[in-house]
Amino acid sequence: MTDPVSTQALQAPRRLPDADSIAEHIVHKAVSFCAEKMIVDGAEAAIDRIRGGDRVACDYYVYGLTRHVAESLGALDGHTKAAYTLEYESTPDDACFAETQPGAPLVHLIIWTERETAAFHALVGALDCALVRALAALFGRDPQQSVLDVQVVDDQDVANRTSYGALFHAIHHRPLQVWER
Amino acid sequence: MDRLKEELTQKEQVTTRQHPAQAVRSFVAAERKHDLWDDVLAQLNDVASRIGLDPGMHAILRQPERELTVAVPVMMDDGSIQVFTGYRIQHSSARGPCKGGIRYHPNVNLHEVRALAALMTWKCAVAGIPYGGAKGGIQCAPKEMSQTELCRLTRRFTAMILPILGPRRDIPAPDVNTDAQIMAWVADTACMLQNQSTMEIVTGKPVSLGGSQGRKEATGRGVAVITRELLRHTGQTLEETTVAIQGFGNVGSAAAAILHDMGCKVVAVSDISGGCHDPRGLDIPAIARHVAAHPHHLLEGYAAPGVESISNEELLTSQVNVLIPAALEHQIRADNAPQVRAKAIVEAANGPTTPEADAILDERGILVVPDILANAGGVVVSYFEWVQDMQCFFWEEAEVNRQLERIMVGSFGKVWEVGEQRAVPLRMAAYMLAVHDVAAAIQLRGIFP
Repeated sequence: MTDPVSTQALQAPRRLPDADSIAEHIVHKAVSFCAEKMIVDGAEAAIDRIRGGDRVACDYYVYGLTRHVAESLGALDGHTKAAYTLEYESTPDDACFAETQPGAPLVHLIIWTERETAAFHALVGALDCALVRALAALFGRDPQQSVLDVQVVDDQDVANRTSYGALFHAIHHRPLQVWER
Repeated sequence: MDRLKEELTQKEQVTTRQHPAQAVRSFVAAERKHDLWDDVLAQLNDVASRIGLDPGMHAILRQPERELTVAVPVMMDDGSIQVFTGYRIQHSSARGPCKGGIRYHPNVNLHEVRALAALMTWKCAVAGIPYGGAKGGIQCAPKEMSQTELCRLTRRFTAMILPILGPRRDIPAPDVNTDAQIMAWVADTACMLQNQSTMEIVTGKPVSLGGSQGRKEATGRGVAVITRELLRHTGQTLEETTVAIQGFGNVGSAAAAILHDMGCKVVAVSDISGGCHDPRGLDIPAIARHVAAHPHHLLEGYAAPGVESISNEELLTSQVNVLIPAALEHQIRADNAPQVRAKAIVEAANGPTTPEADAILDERGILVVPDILANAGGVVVSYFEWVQDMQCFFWEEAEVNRQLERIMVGSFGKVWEVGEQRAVPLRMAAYMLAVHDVAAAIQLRGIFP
């Protein structure tokens, strides 16, 4: 979920010129990644597994989306330093007892940036909308509300261990780096 | 656009050429190696001085009993061979076989595993279950690996640490990026190599392979029981108690449901999508139905008469009797601890309160039930899984819950008593109890030979 205050502050168009192409590219790469890791024959086979709710396939697919979204954000925003993902469960040994993730993916990202800007949040918002359209087109489902949950931290957050910056020093919860500049 | 796509594709090729397990680096790795184990030692030193710990016992507890580092070669799907580094550290087996999870993460390192092993020793001692502490891990990027690669990695790692594992030696469990499937592979590898059924060698198994009923809700149930005991010891009734819970995942949602059934007014809950608040008490069953039906299992979009939206930060500073952080680490920090208005905090998450915040809360007279007590329900039911496997006799869920309640009530009572007798915060009381009990076990057993 993007910061609603920052997004409202900048009335950006909800379509970036290339957002749809970028989103299609991300989804295509994520499905390919899933197919590669599942060792199935091609994208269609991977899509079938994801549609069928195969938990392993869904995990690879969501991770593929996460990684490629992070790469795209890093390419589009010069202030982005690194990107991490995180399992949101209070104790690691309880994460494996959580509900199986359904076919509607939610990409959790912690973006470490030099400087948090309204323009970045607008970028995330536009990419989110484009991903919703791309996923709806690919999976033939009703469009979901959102795909991206992006939390932004800057150098001060990491140094002072505030907000999500505190997690980089965590012992129990371990953000997983998915991209760095 | 074509140029951008080309750049993205080139970047991916670079990343792919460097194996992901080696390509991912953490900027904090060097700092963390120093911090974590040193923090554990500093805490142990503080406790040792308070309880007058025998210097010999202190010296024993300052070092893990056994540390094993292994090189784990794995044939990858593309035919290449990668060598991963794995660890298994046993901090103490004085009170029984060691117990602790195995985590797969690129940043796993010896210092962190050592620290976590010691914390498991204390956690099991506080819970009063007959285990010592251990932890293990492999430096790898599990989400970049196929299932067959993960299987080969797990089996080879298991084979290499098997000499120090066993139902009466060391019992692994799931941790960061490991799950029931990984545990099933560990158990199967042990069975194959030892030529006998030894599924009790791990916990966190699926029920069909000897896992325990009631594990899913165990941590949340334990939190609810501890909250009830806290209220009982502070002279409050359940019905007059208002509760706010940050985090509505497996643990938070279970704690909310059970506290609601007990008669508490859960007035606020939140997750990554935000939160909701109703001073009259939320309809937790309705919220649970909403979350189950939501595509992302989130609170987002829940609406009911009298319910207002709040942020996570607002929940942490809401006016309630009990605040239950059940989300991430470091949520209550020096910058927001002065604004906490709860009378008590029950730590459902691991490490939700920083040491600096702890001091502020203590000064303000806010009771904090520490994580090693409050969220021990999960490890207690893991112990039950092991017990049932050893007996080859499995309990109904009601029996699991009854025994869990008995153990959690007992451990809260002991920690509370130490806190009262020594006039220390409950966190310190828990560590004092743990260190005392482990040292007492060592002294009774004597030093071999």
